Order: sequence, then structure tokens, then C-alpha cells
Amino acid sequence: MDLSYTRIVIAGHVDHGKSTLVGRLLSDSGQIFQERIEKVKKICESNGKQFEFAFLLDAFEEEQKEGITIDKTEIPWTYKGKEFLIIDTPGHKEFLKNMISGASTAEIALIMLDAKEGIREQFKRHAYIIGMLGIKNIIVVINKMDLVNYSQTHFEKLEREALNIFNELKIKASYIIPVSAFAGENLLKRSESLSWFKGPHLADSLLTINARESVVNDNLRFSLQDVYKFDENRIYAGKIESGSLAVGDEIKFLPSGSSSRIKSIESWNVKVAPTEALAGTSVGFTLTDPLFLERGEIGYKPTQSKPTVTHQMHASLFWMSNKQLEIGKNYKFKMLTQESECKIESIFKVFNPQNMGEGTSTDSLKLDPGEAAEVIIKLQKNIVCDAFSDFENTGRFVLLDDHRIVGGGVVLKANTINVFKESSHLSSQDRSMRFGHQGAVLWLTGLSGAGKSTIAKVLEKRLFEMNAHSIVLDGDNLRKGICKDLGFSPEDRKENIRRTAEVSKLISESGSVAIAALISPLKSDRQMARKLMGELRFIEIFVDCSLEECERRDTKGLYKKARKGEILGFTGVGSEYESPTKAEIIIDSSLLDPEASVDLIIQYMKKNNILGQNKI
Amino acid sequence: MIETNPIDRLDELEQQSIYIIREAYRKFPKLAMLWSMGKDSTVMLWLVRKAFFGHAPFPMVHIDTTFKIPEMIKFRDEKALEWGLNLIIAKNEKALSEGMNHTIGRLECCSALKTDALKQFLEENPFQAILVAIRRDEEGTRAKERYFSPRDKSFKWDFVEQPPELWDQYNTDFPSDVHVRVHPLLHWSELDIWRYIERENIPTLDLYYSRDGTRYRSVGCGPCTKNIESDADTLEKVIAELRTTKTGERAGRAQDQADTYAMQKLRVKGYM
Repeated sequence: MDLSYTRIVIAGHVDHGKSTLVGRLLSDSGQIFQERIEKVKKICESNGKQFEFAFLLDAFEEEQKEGITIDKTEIPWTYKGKEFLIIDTPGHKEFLKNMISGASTAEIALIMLDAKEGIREQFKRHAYIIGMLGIKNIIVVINKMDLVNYSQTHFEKLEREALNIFNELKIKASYIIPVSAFAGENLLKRSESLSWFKGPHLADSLLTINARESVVNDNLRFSLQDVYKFDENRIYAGKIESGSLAVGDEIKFLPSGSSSRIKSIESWNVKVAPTEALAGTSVGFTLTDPLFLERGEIGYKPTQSKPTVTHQMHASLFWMSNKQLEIGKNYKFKMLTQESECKIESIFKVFNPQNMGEGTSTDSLKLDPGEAAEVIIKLQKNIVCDAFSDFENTGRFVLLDDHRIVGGGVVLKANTINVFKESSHLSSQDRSMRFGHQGAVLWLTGLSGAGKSTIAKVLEKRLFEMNAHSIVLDGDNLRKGICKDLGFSPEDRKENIRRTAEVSKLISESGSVAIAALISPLKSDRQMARKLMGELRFIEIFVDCSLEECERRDTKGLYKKARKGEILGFTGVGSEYESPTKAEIIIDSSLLDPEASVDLIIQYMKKNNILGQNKI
Repeated sequence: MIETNPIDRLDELEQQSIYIIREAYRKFPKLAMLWSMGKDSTVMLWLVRKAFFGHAPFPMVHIDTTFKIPEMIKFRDEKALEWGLNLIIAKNEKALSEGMNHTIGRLECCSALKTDALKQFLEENPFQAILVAIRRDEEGTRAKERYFSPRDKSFKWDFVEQPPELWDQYNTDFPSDVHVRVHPLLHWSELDIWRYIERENIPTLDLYYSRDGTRYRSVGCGPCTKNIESDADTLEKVIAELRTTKTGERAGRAQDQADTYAMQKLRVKGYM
């Protein structure tokens, strides 16, 4: 099979020799048309300049007169029968958008580094962007070795520095290769001046990389472009972004949720009608049910992984506008055929090449042109997407402002619809004014038999009598309902606590008091529950009672069973109970009866303004 | 799972172009395509018919300089009928009546009879976007083009400030006074075009095949298009010749050689 060419982007700092390298590769391999070389020679003469290989690519008059690359150039190149598409890009920060445009489709990246000048800002920035774009095959080309006398120690020093930066960016280099693009050393043949270098020369290194042999996600993602009705048939046209589809397959669409089966795959001018279509195909098909679908729907197979429907996401974003990004301003979000208005809600982890090694800054409110950061994006409409690490095509997007692409990004986390909080029209103050008390979570922890449930029920009744809204969430009862799929493994216990905490949180948000009574033996789990509450009131109440006393009471007969080995991992017998050290309230239930215990709790609640002081 | 890319090179080129053509059709209700009857725009016309399952749902515009080689006109009229095309022929009547031709100046002639003819046509017929079959490997300034390339009212190409273009997320969102050149074949090479013509059996002009030791590698106006020495009288031989040639495709196009930055100068003003 005749495979498509491999795309190589050439990146790196200004004047580190990108265009020279490309010009040299083309001309040394005899792949540039003679008239082009002649033409450039003539131009150099008329401009009073020495011939430069870079001029073979920098076609604009402005580029040749200034000796810079303004825009990317894409040129095919063949080496030992393998076809490449070389994408030369500009190194100036001002032309970063052109560099990104060039790099976005590449499978291999060569990052140039001037041996004499060493690591400069754009080297770091380009390395960061290439990592973010998900380009897996990166070669660092240490150029201008002729200017440092082809020194091995010098090369090794730069090699270490480059690797340090790569480590920090969590990206890997496939090769680090010394060359002189100007002198043509180590590009297409081994160099005598660099005889100490044992690795492959640049062109050979490219042959060893099989960029196409990457992990392919075979779960279907189909993006609907249009629906055609040239005759009676309704043809759904779009691109298979990943996976494949065949006649008879069930396909489901999001966000609409409608589904049907592929009736036919449409074609024109073919001998045999196709029955299957693969990733990368701009397909057109009919369905067994004539669904009303609009452009932007994403199709998937119900038997495979499902994309996420969301109106908020955590993403990496590079900013290509000539203005600063504005928090809260309306931008247009575009992902494949989906579009929505959006706002950037917050900016954090701004990438700053100047202070690499000191960690990235957090919680910045601004993003300047040419900068990259992590952001939270809030979308006006639901978008169907995936994390970029799972699906490339449904995990990347652009932002537009005033009809121009100003940002490009990848989805780090596509949140489900419910994960992000919809702000309510009511504040907690509104609710406490109405109810006369605040919402809160009272979390009773302690051994089985310590009296948690008893205290909880008395407390609930007392609060009711005081006109305070409350409800008991008893561990045993929850396990019959919301947690009935859970067992007693450490994971399940943790999940049991998480769910209870989530339910408690909702109750407390509604302005009521949630009284959770469950053993919750581990500090870490109780800590998790506390953390979940955020701003809400969380009061940990340790119902303290010795194991001996609890075992003596054994109200449910569980200790007896545990001692007989009928229950494994029973708290206090087979597994440990970690006593709280920072509980808000400690109740010694071997000394206090339930009524007295409740008095203690009510007192605390009044003192801390959860209950009004005038409550009886 | 490790898999290699499941579709081959020509499929990939074709599918990508179809995607772009469909984007343009969906996003620009007033869309037209430039058809010069040359190999590239004829391949593009084929892709349009493929994208829309045999239909060509928008007009094909031929910018007629009146200096075209007669075979081209014959081919145009035959195929327009056979393929059921909505063919529109546009000319710069004023310049022609004033006697414009290449002896006045090759760049002047190209600007008047092609660029200005197109400009006049678009002033009278408000197509917001037109499909143009240029390719990156044709010459240096085209190598820097975008798939969706905006031009202002006077057709000016702001090549220093080209918009970013990332992945398949093409910007199709332009203000109503912006004219958009859509380039679905930008990523094809000359060789790709011929191999696709071979694979799909696409009808092409006889001018491309050798007669008496010469053939046209690129066709345009009679006075400014030179044929090249070649014995390639079949499709297979043309492909074999292109695999080894060291000469550029447009070497036979006189306007390209008229000035050092001829193509940039023409294209900034709106040349295709």
C-alpha cells in the first residue's frame, strides 16, 4: 500500500538555521528544481547578498530582503524511497501563529538549536507547544557545529541542557543529533568532523521513526458535516475521525441522543458499493430511520466508548491573538463541526520560558499574545468531546474572536454535564434567613455499637422540635439504597463514605442539617469527606466508646460473628479504627446518655451560629 | 492496538479535499468554483462530483481571456454538457475591447484578463467564496497559502498577516465583505494529480500528451504557455517522466518568469 507522507515540522529559535537546514536537505538530495536555485542565485546577486539555502523556501520578497521566515512553507521531500512533507516555520515570537499552523499536523518535529548561541526562549516555547500538540517524535538538531569546532564536550553540554528542559516539560527526544546545516555535515551522510558521534545522521534517523505506527483508537467518532437531499435519500455526510463503520452498525448521536442503523454507504463512480468506511474517510451514509440531525452531532457506537457531553472543560490553550485574552469575554469555540459561544472562566499555569525550573506561575488573570496556559472554558451550548489523550480529533479545538482564529487548544479533561456547579439564584444566606438556621453536615464517627445511630435519631427529633430541618443518613440504611452495590473492601468502604458525603453536601446546600452516622474508621476517608464540603459547615463528632464496652453492648450481635470469623475485616476486630484527633466534638458515650450527648451538640451548634441563639 | 494508517496516500488526499469542499458548500451559501479545464481544476471538479454523489451543486466559472488554446474551449463545452454543469463564462470585456494582450506586458495582461475579470465577475455576482485549484508545490508563494484564505474587497492578499489554520478546524467564519479563496487541493503534488487521474480515469485535455516530441505540462493562454520536449504520449509515461524531472511545472509559463517576484506581485492583487 502506498502510504501517505510523514509530516516533519522544523521549529526552533530565530536564526538557529531552520530554513537553511531544509534548503540544504532539498538541494543536497537533488530535489529542488534547478530553475529555483538559479532564480534564488539571481535574486541574491541583485540584492547584493551571499547565496543562502534558506532563500529556496523564504519565497516572499519581504522574507528574502529581510532574511527572515514570515510564514510556514510545506515542501515534499523523498529520502531512500520514503516520502516526507517538510514544514518550515518561522522562529520569531511575532509569527508564532504561523509556527503553530505548521506544527499542528506534524508527526515528527525537528527542534533546531544553535550550538554557539545555546538554548534561547523560542527553543523552550516551541518544545512546549510541540509537547502540547501531542507530537510524539521529537529530534533535537544541534546546528552550527562548525562554529564550535565540532566539539564533543560542547555538544554533550547542550545535550544535557536540552534534556533538562525536556524533562521539565515531560516530553522525550527520540534523538539529539549534531549537524552543520551550512556546511552540510551529518545531514545526509556521516560527517568526518563529527566522527565521535555514534548515532545515525539526520536523514537516517528519520527513517527509523515510524510515525504512522502509533496507537490508533478504534472507537468510532463521526462528526456530522451536513445532510444532503439530492433525491429521496437523506445522506448524512461527515468525517470518520476515528474507528470505522459498516452497513448494519448501530450508531448513536450526541448531543441529540437519537440512534439508528447504517442502511447504506453512499458512493459515486465505483464498481462495487462500499460496505465499510475507515478513519479519515469523508463518508456519506443513509440510516434505517430518517433521523432529523443537525450539523455538529457526533456519532459513536453504543457498544464502544462514549464521548463526553459537557459545557465546561479544562484545557491547554495557546493564545495567538494580538490582544490579551480577556476573562469573561465571549469567544467562539469551534471543535470539528461543533460551534458554541464560550467564556474563559479562569487562567492558571501560564507557561513562561523565562522562569522554567522555578515552576509555572499559577492563577494568573492574564494571557498575553504568544503565551500558553491551562484554562477553564465555559461553553454556552453542550459540546461533545473527549480528552485529547484518548482521541486527538475530538479533543482539540480553536477559539475565534471577530472572525479570526485566536486560540488553539487541547482538552485535558472533558467534564460530564453535572460535574461543574450551576450557580443557584439562592444564596446560603437566603436559605438561612428563611429557615432560621444554617445548613450543615454533622458527621458522627465511632465504633459499631458506640451509639452513633441512637444519638443521631435523638438529635434529629430535637432539631425537629426546634423547627430546624434535618435528616439522618444512617450507614446501614444507605447500604440498602444508594450504596447497595458496595461491599466491605477498602475501596468500597471509601466509595460508601464518598457517596454519603456527597448526599450530605446536597442536603446541607439546601439549607438543612445532614446527620451522617457511619463508622468511617479511616482518617483519610473522613478527611476526604471534609474536603468535599468546601465552604460548607462540616462538624466531625467522635462518639468515643471503648472497644470492650461496644463489644459488651453488641446490640446487633456483629462482634460475636466477627470473633467467630463470620465477618471479615470488622472494625475493631479485623481492622483498625483510627480515632479522630481533631474532631469538633467528642462525646464519651460510656459516660453520657443520648439526651446529654445531644445537649452537647446543640450547644456547639448555637455557639457556632449554625442554630440561632434564640432557638429553644 | 497497533495499526498503520488504514487508508492510502491518494485516498487521504481525496478525503481531505472532499471534507474541505463540503465545509465550503455548507458554510458559504453563495459558492462557485473556478474551472480552467486544466488538470488541477478538472480533478477538483471530479472531487466536487464525488463529494456530492455525482452532483455539482454550484456554478463552474471559467475566466476566459479569449487567448486560451482552442482544444480547451472544446473540452469545456463538451464536458459541461456531459456532466450537467452550471457553466458561467466571465471575461473582462472592457480590457479586451481596448486591445489588451500579452505584448503590452505579461503581468499587465494576466492582471487585466484574469484577476480583473474575476473581480468584475464577483462584483456583479456576489459569490462570497470561490474554490480555486492551486497547489503548494506549484511555486513559493502558493506554498505558504491557507486552505481558507481571506481577501479584502479589492482582493488584496495580506500574506504577512495570514490567519492561523490548525488541524481540520478551518475558519469558515468571515465578515460579509470578505471574499474567501478556498483551496481544496493545496496539499496535492503534481505527481499526486496525475496518479489520481490515472486511478480515477478522469478525462483530461489531449494537450498534456506528447505529439511530435512535445507536450504541455501546464496549460494556460496560448501566447504565454510553452510546450516542453517530451515523448510522454500516455498517462503512464507522463507519470514516469514526472518522477525523474528536475524542471519545475510552471517553467513553461511565461508570466512567472516576467519578474523576480512575479507570482507574489500577481497573487497579492488577487491572481489565483
